[in-house]
Amino acid sequence: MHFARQGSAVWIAHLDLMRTFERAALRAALPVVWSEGYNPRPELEFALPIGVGIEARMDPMRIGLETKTDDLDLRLNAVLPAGLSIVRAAPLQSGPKSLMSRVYAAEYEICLNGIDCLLPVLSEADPLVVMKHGKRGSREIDLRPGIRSHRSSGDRCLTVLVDAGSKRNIRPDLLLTALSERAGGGIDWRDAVIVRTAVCLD
Amino acid sequence: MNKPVSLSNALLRSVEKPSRYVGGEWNSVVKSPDAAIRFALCFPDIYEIGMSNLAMSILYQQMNARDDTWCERVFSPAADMRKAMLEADMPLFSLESKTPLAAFDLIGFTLQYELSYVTLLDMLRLGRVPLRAAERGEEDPLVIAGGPCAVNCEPAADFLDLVVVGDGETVLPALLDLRRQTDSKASFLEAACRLEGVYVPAFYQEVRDDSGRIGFASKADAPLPVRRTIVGNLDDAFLPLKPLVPNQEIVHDRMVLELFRGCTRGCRFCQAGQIYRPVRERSADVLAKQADALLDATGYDELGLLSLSTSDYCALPQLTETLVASMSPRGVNLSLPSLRLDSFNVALMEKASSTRKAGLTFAVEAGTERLRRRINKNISEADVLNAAAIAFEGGWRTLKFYFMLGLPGETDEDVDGIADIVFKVIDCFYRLPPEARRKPPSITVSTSYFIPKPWTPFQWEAMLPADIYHARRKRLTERLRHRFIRYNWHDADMAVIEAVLARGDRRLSSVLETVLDEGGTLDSWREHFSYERWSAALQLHGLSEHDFTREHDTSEVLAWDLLDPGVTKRHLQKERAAASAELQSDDCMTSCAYCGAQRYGTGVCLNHGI
Repeated sequence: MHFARQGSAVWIAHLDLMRTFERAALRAALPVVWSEGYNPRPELEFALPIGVGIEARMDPMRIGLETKTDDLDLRLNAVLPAGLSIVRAAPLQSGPKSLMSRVYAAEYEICLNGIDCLLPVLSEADPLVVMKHGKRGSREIDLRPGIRSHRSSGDRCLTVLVDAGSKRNIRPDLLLTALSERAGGGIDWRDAVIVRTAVCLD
Repeated sequence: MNKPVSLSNALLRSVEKPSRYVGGEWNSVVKSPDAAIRFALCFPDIYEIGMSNLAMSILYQQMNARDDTWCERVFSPAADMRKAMLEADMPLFSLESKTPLAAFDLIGFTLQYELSYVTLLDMLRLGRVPLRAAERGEEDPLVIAGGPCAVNCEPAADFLDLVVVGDGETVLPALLDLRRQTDSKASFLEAACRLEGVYVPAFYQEVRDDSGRIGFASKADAPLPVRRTIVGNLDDAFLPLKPLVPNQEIVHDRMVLELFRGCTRGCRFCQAGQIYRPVRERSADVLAKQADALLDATGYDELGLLSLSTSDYCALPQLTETLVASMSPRGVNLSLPSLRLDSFNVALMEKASSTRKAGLTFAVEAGTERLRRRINKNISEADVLNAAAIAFEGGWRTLKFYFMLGLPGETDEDVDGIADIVFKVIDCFYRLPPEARRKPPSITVSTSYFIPKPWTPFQWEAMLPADIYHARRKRLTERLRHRFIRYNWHDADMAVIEAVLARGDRRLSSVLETVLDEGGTLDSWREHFSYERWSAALQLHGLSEHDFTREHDTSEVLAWDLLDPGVTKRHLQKERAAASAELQSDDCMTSCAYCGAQRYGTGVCLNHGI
């Protein structure tokens, strides 16, 4: 199935979002499959973690159920907190591969006053380097090879399709940091509305 | 100025855990802004702490069950958000509608610990509400408070229009009704002060002469002393069934069943054991039904039992049996805190949490039988060692021990006794068969610094001077060196300021204001607390720590003597004498000491034909 998030739910961190869906599944009394092990949890899988502050239109997720359950979307939507909803209940094609490993790209729509000044930078060909701060220290990465396509999508908005998943994952906040630095720093991207419009699965 | 604030993406992206500030949690209540009463329920600490508080949860649900009232939540921002708000010139706002604090009709704070007083002031100032009740006009909100600190909140009294002493859910509905029926603050307060459990600080005044405080005077026929109000029967009290489910982790992230209020044990250092008397239980079938409803309403995977001493609940075996049967199939773990450890309870715990073996906690409090008799903590060394042996045999390896340093009558021998008992526990481990000893135990010993609290038999005692406390703490550190033991202790400076506030009076209001002006807030957090700031503020106003940490004479009129929480001063004095004579007192279950709480004619008192 696919979920969307907007409004206050945008500020839920990824791990908390998992917990929020787990609790909603229990409120809905769904026949969830419990994971094995020391600390059983309802079986729940998100295709791609979503950063704090990013909206989602249609993010793929999977919930393990013991029995086929009708009206899954209605039952979950009745108990999800403000801003979260199931937008498509149809089960995802399941295969031997996990949902996460099937992700290869994601599309983001970014809206911000003055975003036009970032467009030329997106079209350049030379490396787009940014510092990435992670658990294992900070390092420079080049985002350019991960940018698949981009287009202006109406007044003050642009849409980018970037690599996503385990091989190379381009985070929109890093992309915006890199773009605004290259564009001369006159733009504060933190005011942007960032929407993940699609997650592409193979 | 009363329009909702708007939180920009840039602001929220610049702070840690923005989910603290946006609301939208499951079971949060959104009503029309035209509600007759707009109530801001405030907790003077950050989101994770305030959201874990049961009183907040009960009052939020109880007030929102009324059609005429919209109750919203306000917490203190963390330091980063506080700074960002000040830079953006943004007032403190409610989570539900983002309404500035100053726009509410009523602002209610829960006072859970003394070190949160300055945070209360900070929240008022951030919310652009004048600090002192006397400075607030008819258009400003009424600021009220309740909670355990209400049994002596004199340091904060000048900032509060009204204080609820006792169980809030009894008197709050009447206060809301009154607010609607009266057309001025003055007429509201004059009518409200006649309700049991209502203390209007402005109506009371200390009477002093050269020797100090000699009594109190009340205005407007306000009753003196102010009697505490209680829920007589918990089964009839408002039952919270739709608690908020946060969108981020909080400190106590689980469903909660409140088994009973009060405690029968009568430990002489414990304020909660005195001020919530008498013990009143909620019946097991009400609790079992509540548990089902809570699970349906929250989807939590953990259920906690809450009380001051869970093993004293009369129907505990029956209740846990029922709960395990109904909760386990739905994936819910039962957590049982505050259990006295005997073989029965260990079996109970194994059943309750079949998958997790969390740590076990032993609140031993003092190192020798003599000192434990003195503080009326009636647990023997044999009890502790038996329980430890049972725990080790049951597979538990993480044990925590709580003790206090600085108890009245404590000697070096009592300090050494702490180490003795801990090493005897380690001996219990070595008595296990070798194959059971492969995983070493982890033993945490924590000591806190005893603080004399109002309305306890030790309310007159001196607080041990900090240098002697440090010496004893060091002595214990040397004696607890062992690879299985980790020793934690409380810092002296925070405890001393807590002690000053606990037995403080209205002279401290200026001190609180100075600490606020000097940048104090969130003082219960080590990283924000500054002893120097407090020390300088006390000095500036001609006060010293010693004025409050000294031994108080039993003939003195105490700052909190204008209240009457049930337990009488006569009883406390009797208990203090029993402490000096190292005599134990009976548990309320065994016999009645006529402490004063029998006047409520309910709870455990009924067992004695009262």
